[in-house]
Amino acid sequence: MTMHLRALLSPAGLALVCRLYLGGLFVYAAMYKINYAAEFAATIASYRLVPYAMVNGLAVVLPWVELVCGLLLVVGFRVRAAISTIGLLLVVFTLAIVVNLMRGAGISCGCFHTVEDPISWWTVARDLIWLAMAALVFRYDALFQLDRALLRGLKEVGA
Amino acid sequence: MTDEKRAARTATETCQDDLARALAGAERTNALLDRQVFRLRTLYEVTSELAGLDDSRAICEAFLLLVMGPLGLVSGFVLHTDRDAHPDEVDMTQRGLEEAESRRLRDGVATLFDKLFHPGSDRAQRPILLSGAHLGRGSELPPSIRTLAAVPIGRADHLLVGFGPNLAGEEPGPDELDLIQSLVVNLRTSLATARAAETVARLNADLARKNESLNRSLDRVLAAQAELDRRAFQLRSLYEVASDLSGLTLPGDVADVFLLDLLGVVSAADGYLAVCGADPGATLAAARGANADAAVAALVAPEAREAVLAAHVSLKDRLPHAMQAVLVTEPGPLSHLPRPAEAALFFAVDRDCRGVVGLGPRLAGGPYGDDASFLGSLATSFLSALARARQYETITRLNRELTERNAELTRTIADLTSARQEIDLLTAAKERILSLVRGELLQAGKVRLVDFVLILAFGTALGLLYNLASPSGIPLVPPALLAPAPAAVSAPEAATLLAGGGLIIDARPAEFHQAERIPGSINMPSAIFDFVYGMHLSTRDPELPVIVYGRTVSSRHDLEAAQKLERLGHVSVRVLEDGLDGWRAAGMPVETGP
Repeated sequence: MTMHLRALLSPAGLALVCRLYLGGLFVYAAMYKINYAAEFAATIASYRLVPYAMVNGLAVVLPWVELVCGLLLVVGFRVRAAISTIGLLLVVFTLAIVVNLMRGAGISCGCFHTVEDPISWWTVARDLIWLAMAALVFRYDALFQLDRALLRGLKEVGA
Repeated sequence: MTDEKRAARTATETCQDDLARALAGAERTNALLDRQVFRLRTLYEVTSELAGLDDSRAICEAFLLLVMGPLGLVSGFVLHTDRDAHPDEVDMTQRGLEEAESRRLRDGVATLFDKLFHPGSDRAQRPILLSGAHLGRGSELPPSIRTLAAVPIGRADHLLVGFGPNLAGEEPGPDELDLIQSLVVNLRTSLATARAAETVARLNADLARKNESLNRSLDRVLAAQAELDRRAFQLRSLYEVASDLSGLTLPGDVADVFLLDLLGVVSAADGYLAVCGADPGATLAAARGANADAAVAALVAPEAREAVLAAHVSLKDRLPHAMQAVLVTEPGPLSHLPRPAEAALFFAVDRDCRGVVGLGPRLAGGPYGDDASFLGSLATSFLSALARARQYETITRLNRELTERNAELTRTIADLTSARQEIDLLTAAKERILSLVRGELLQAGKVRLVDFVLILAFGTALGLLYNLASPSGIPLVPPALLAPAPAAVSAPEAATLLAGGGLIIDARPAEFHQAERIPGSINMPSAIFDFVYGMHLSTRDPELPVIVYGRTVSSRHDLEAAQKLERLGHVSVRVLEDGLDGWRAAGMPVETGP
C-alpha cells in the first residue's frame, strides 16, 4: 500500500495521475461539443477571434481533436504528442480568454456546457493549472504507456 | 716301335755282326767258335729272357742268374738306383754274397755312385768296365769282387754290376769281359726298357685315374646341370605364376588361375583349392580335372569348411602362420580333407582366412615331397596375390561406401548451406525487426511531427464523418456566405435611408446591442428573430428599406438576418457596410449604455 502511495508520489506517478485526469477531462469536454456542434460554433463565434468562414469548420473538428487527444492520454499512446496538442489548445484557450477578459466580454467559457458561468480570471487560473499539469505529463510521464506496453513483449527478443 | 726295342734290336744286330765276324774267323778255332757260340747263345738267351721281362728287379735277378750260370761266377750283384725318380730307393739284387757284405754294399751305395758316376752321365755313354782284384779293397765293395761295371742309364739313373770270381777263382778273361760288357749293355737296355714300360704303365695308371676322376667330375657336372635345369624350370614357373597372378583383382580369379598354373607346373592330373574365411557361406573354391563342378559344389558347402579347418587343426605344431604354406604328404591330415588328395598345401592368409590346395597324382616328376620348397614358393606367390585381391575387394567396398557417404555428406552440406542461408536471412530479418522495434521504443518517448499530423487528420476525418452522418451536423461553409449577399450600403447612405423612414436592424446578441448601438436600431438577435420580427416588422411595408448591421470577426449576423428578411419578402434589404465601426467612423452618432 505504501509502496503504491510512494509510487504515486513519484514524478512518474504524479504525471500519470495528471495524464489520466487531463485525458478524462478532455474526453468529457469533447463529448458535449460533438453533439451540439451548432452551439459550439456559436460559442466560438462569441469569442470574436476566429474568422467567420472557419468557425463552423473549427466547431466540427476541434471537439474531435480533443476527443482523440483525450483518448490517447487515457490510454497512454503517443502521450507526448497528445499532451503537446492539448497543451497547445490550452494555450490558445487561455489566450482567447485573456483577450476576451481584457475586452470585458462576458462570454461563457464554452469548455463544457454552452451555458456556464462567464469567464473570469479564475478560468484563466484553472487553464494555467491544467497547462502546468500538461507540462508535468510531458516531462515525467512514463507509466502505463500503451506504446511501451505493446512493445514490451519485444524486449524479450533483445530489443 | 719304342726306342728301347729298337735299341735292343740294334744291339742284337751288333751281336749278329760279331757273330758274322766270328764266323768269318771261325776257321781259327772251333773251340773259339763254340765258345763264342756259347757266349752268343748266352747273350741271346739273356737278351731274349730279359726282353720279356718288365719288372726291373726281375730283370736284375734274371740277369744275374743268366750271366753267373754260363760264366760260372760265384757271386754277383746289381745295384740300381734312380736318384731322380726314387732318391732313397736302392734296388739291390745279389747272389752269392754274404749278409754282411751285402749290407755294407747297400749302405755304401751313395758313396760308390758318387765315386763312379759323374753328374751328367747318360745312357749314350758306354759303361765303364773295371776288373781286377783290387776292386775289393774298398770298404763298400765286397772283397771278392773281380769285375765291376758302372752303367749310366739316365742322368741320375745308375746301374752298378759287380761279379766275383768264377768257380775256379779266376778273374774273367777279355772274352768274358766283352761278354759281360755286352750283357751289361743289354741289361742296361732291358732296364731302360723296363723302366720305360714302368713309366708307361705308371703314366697309364695315372691317365686312367685322371680319366676316372674326370668322369666323376663330368658326372657331377651333369648332375649339377640337371639340378640347374630343374631350378631354372622352377624359377621360370614361379615367375610365370607370379606374373599371371599379378594383374588379377578378384579372389576367385586368383584361385582359378593359380590352381590351373600349379597343376600344370607339377603335372598333376587334378586338384582343388578351397579358401575358407570367417563367414561359413563365403568359401572360395576352385577345382580342375574330372568332376570339377561336383568338387566345387562340395567344397562350397559348410561341411567342407569344417573339414578343412579340422584338417588344419590336425597339423598341430605344423599349422601354418599368416602368409605361410605347408606341404603335407602324410595320410593323417589328408584324411580330414573334404575331398581326396595325394598331397596338400595347407596355407593361411591371416588368422581368419585359411585354406588348402589338394593335389591329385602326378603325371611326371618325383614325389611331392621333393618339391616341397618349390611348392612353398608357389604358394607364397599365391598367398600374396590372394591377400592383395582381398585387400582390393575391401578397398573397392570401402570406396563404394565412401562414395555413398560422400554423396550423403554433399547432400547434407547442401541442406546445411541452404539452412544456413535461411538462418542468415531470418537473422537479418530479425535484426531488422529488432532495429525497427528499438527505433519504435526510442520513438515512443519522442514527439514526432507525424503524430500531430495523424491526430489532426484523425480528428478532422472523424469530425467530418460524424458531421456528415449526424442529424445535428452543421454546414462546414456557412450558408450565409454561399447565398447571394444583399446589397451593401455605406453609412451616409444608410443615414439617408433612415432619415427617409428606413429601418435599421441590429442583428447582434442583446448584450452587444445594450453596450453600443446605432440610435433607433431594432435589436433582432438570431435567437429571438421570429419574436422580434413578429413584434416590429411583420406589419411593415415590405418595400421599406431595411438596413441590417452587426458583424464581428467571427459572425455575420447582419448577413443572416438580411437573408432571412429577404426570404420573408422584404425587397429592399441592405447591409451596412463596415458595420457599426463604419458608422462610427463616419461620424454618425452612436448610443451606448443600456
